[in-house]
Amino acid sequence: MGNTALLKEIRKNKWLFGLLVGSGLAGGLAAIFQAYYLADIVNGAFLGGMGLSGLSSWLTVLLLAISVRAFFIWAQERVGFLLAARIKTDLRQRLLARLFMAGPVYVDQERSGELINTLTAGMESLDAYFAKYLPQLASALLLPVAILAVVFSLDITAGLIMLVTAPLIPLFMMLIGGWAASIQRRQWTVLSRLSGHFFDVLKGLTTLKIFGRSAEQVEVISRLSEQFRETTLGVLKVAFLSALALELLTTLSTALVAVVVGLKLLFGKLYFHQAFFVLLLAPEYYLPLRLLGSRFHAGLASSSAAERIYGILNDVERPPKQQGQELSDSSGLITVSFDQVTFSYAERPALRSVSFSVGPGECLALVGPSGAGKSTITDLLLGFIEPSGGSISVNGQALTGLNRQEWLKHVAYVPQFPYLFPGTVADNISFGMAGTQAAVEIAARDAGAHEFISLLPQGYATLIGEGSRSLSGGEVQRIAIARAFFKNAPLLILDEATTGLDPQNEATVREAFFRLMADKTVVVIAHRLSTACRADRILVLEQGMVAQIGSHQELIVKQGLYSRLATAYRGAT
Amino acid sequence: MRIFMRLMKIVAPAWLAMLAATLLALVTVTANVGLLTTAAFLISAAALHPPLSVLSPAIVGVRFFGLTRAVARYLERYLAHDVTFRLLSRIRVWCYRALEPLVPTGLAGITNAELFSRVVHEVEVLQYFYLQVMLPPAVAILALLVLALLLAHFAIAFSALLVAGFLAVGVVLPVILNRHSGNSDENLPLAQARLVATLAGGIRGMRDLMAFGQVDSHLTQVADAATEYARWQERSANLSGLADAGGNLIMNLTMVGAVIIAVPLIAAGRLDGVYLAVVALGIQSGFEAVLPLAAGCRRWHEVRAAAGRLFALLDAEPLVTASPSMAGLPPRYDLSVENVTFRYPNSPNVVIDDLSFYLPDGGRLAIVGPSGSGKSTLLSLLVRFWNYDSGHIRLGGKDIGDYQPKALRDTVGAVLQNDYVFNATLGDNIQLARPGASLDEILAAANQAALGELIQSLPLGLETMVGENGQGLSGGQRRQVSIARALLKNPPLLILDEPTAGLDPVTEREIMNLLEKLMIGRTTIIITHRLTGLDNMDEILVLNQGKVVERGRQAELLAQKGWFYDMRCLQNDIFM
Repeated sequence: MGNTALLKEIRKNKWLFGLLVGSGLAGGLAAIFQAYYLADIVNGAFLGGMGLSGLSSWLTVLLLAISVRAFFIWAQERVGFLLAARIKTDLRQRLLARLFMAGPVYVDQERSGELINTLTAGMESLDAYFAKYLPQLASALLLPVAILAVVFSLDITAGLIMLVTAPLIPLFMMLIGGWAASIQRRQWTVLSRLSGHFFDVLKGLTTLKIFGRSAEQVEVISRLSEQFRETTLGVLKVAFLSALALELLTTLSTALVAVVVGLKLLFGKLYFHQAFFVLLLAPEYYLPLRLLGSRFHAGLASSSAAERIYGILNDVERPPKQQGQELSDSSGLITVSFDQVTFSYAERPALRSVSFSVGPGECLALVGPSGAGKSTITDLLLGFIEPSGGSISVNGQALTGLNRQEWLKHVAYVPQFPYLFPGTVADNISFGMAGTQAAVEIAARDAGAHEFISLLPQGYATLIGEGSRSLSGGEVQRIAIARAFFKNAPLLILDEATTGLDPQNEATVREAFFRLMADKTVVVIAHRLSTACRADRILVLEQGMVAQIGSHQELIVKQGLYSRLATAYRGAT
Repeated sequence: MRIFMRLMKIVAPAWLAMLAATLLALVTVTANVGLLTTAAFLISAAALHPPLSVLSPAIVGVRFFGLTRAVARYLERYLAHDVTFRLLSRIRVWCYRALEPLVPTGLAGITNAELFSRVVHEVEVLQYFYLQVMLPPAVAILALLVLALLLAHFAIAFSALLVAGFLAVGVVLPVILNRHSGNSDENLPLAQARLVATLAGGIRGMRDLMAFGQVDSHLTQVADAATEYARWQERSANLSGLADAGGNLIMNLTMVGAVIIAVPLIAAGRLDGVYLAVVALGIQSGFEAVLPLAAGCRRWHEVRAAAGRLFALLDAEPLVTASPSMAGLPPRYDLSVENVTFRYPNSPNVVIDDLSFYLPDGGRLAIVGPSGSGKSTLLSLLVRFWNYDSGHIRLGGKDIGDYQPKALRDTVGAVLQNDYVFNATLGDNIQLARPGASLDEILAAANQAALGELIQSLPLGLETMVGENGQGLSGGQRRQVSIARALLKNPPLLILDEPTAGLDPVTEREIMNLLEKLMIGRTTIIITHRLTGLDNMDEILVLNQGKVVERGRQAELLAQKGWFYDMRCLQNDIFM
């Protein structure tokens, strides 16, 4: 199924693909010409008694055929690369755009590691399909037919031998290939465990060392590598049989053709140059078929990658629209209302008729055990997902009717685990938004980040993010808060961090947090009692439903989830 | 060249299998030459209409060579892969031997996860050293010798031509291509890494990008990185296209050259015309031996780079070496740390600054403090993964440097936050703490670590595979496996490093109860940032930036209302 989708990509690049197949064919035809003129030249020198001067015109044509052939070999690789690169680039951008359309909730479900692998290694494995396997398939279908036509015109017996043996090649390949694959499947768990063992031992080396067991692992590694070798060779023993069958068919039928045309020649039923021409053509006839065999497995790997890629492209249930209205009330104040909002992840309800409203200068804290639906609410507000029931309105306008990108301009967001992109500190604070260096610095000061940034070797120009200087959890938090200050949007969505902070850091981050909240419409996922205390209202969630709503003072005196949560954990310590 | 010799030394013991595979490869090539030359002779001779008996050796010959070729090719491939896997095993063992003394600390500045995946990757590149680097030139040289000798039988000029052709394909072409590669072999992986990093950043930071309207600019960045990558890929594809085309061109030109040499010789009667086709096809088919050299050459660059990085990494001197004169087990297990100072090599920051404490035999000490305060570094000093710069650490009255490192580690049981669970059975994972332990002992340890219920619920019990990285276990269960290991080892000295990190409050409570039992009768150091279950500690050290800022029992520290008190309040503030 992956293959049909891949063929569709070819249709978009018809010309390039035609050029690719054409190069393969032209190279093959040049090879036929080469054989023809070589046969003539040898004939002339051997039986015709001709000298170099007599042969010179034929030699010139021969050299020309040789050069043309070399040119098309080069052209085939070039065009193959171009085709594969074009399709990959297009597919990669489409996949990425689709993933962003589906949003982070989908990505989290799909496991980001696997997605990244599909986007990178999976994409690259398509090379083999477009640049190698497919053009070879075309050559293997077309070239042998051309050669066969030539051979039949010269000698029917040789033609018949070649005609009969050719279909045996794919047949054997499929039979033996299937056999080998079934052995490999049976050995799969053993093989993958054995091949992963070395990495496993390395990763656990510290543990082994503490238990004084590291030195003896040499022997285990050696033993398991040996076992891996034996098991793999067991599979290869069969897999290589297809190569043996291929080789046997090729060499023996070449030998047979040689004997047949040799005997006909002996009995005067054929001319030498014809017989020699047929002999020269025999290896050219089998070559595309053999190459197809060696590229078959690469093609298989590609189609499994293609299945994953198209699986994602077709999977996204309802690609959220990019169109939509702008927020008509642009007074810079935001009031958000949830009315009986319901949401399910793949049939599993995550939020059940939740209603609340929060306006300018107000702070709503979301509280509840993990999985209660807190982040579902913020994901809905950020437009990453859309409610399956009920409605969300912003200043009276339905959120689903708003253009997402436009809407998000009114929102500042500080996630629990902010991501810093490779770039300077200043880039990470301004994050693509327009503003002066001075504005960046003011935002950093407000976020309590200016002090540590000034201590960095290049200050605001210091490179951070993956592969560069690493910052502590508190520092990353403060840069994310500076980002939100810099954006200065009327709606603020916060997800409190709970780990990686020490008392000093913690105090600075919290002060910055509260400074940021002033005068805004705030929705905060609170993990700390002191944050909940300061909220105007607390929404206590349990299994996707609103269990309680009210201020800290109201809730703490009631017998309910909130007072249980507020006391339970402390009681445990 | 030094790298080549070192690699040779590693693979040398497999010389017999390598030689056999090389000879079989030679047979494969020469059988093909034999097939085509015999066929050419058969046809040429038949053209002169001799009696059939003249042709019959050739008729037998083509079949013989055809069969030999196929069988030799099969055996060669089998044997060559056998050698490859043997070498993989040897390289792994060699690499492990070199790496083992260096882990976890001898490899300055590189995190282990990154390091190990790098090592595994380099080893995978090296396993093709024989198949793709050593084998092709060996076969080319041997085939050249055989064919040149055979050709000399007809005319020495043919041999000279063949040598020239082989040199052109095997030496000149790779050298020229290499010179025009524009470092694409080095730049291609860099460009690829950049693209992967950009893509991965986009997926991991998707929330941030979308919330701040940066999706379009990110897509542009991806497109730029992809363009750059494609540029280097194109160069690389161009090079391999040129290598293939160049090889094919030279092969055919050499064949035409042979014809041009032969024609006057035939006219002069110095060469029988029957052999014209034989010589031409012999030379052409012989190139099969030299054509893979261009690819092998590029592979060598890759292998050389990988080996160079690996050697550089593994040539580091281990910090701690054992000597037989060192002492065995200590007489008692009191621990005395006196004015210890430590900084990591090549780093200006003091990680442990003039630290002192005394822990009596059977005593309990907790070390708390923010991340980066030096808690875990102290642990590394205690088990001698690092050597401290000044001061003393004494166990049972003797400097820990005077004990055999292994004897020292035998006295220590550790439950660490990043304890590794191997992709093996549950039983094997516990047993590694004491190889000789009986099944009953393992079960007893598992039961004490509260794993009994889990084991009974599993159809395979202790024989259950726990999956890669212990994926089949929950965070709490992994910690329980660690505790079971410590119980089985039954050490007099216990070190607990963040034993409840990443666990939910209920599980944390359960694990703390288990640890409480484990600590009985053992000298214990617990390192934690969770201020839970510390009321039974004889002493708590609060560490900040390598220095003790507060010390005392929990009640005293709480009364002081300092760091410890603040941290405790902060922790109590979190309610889910």
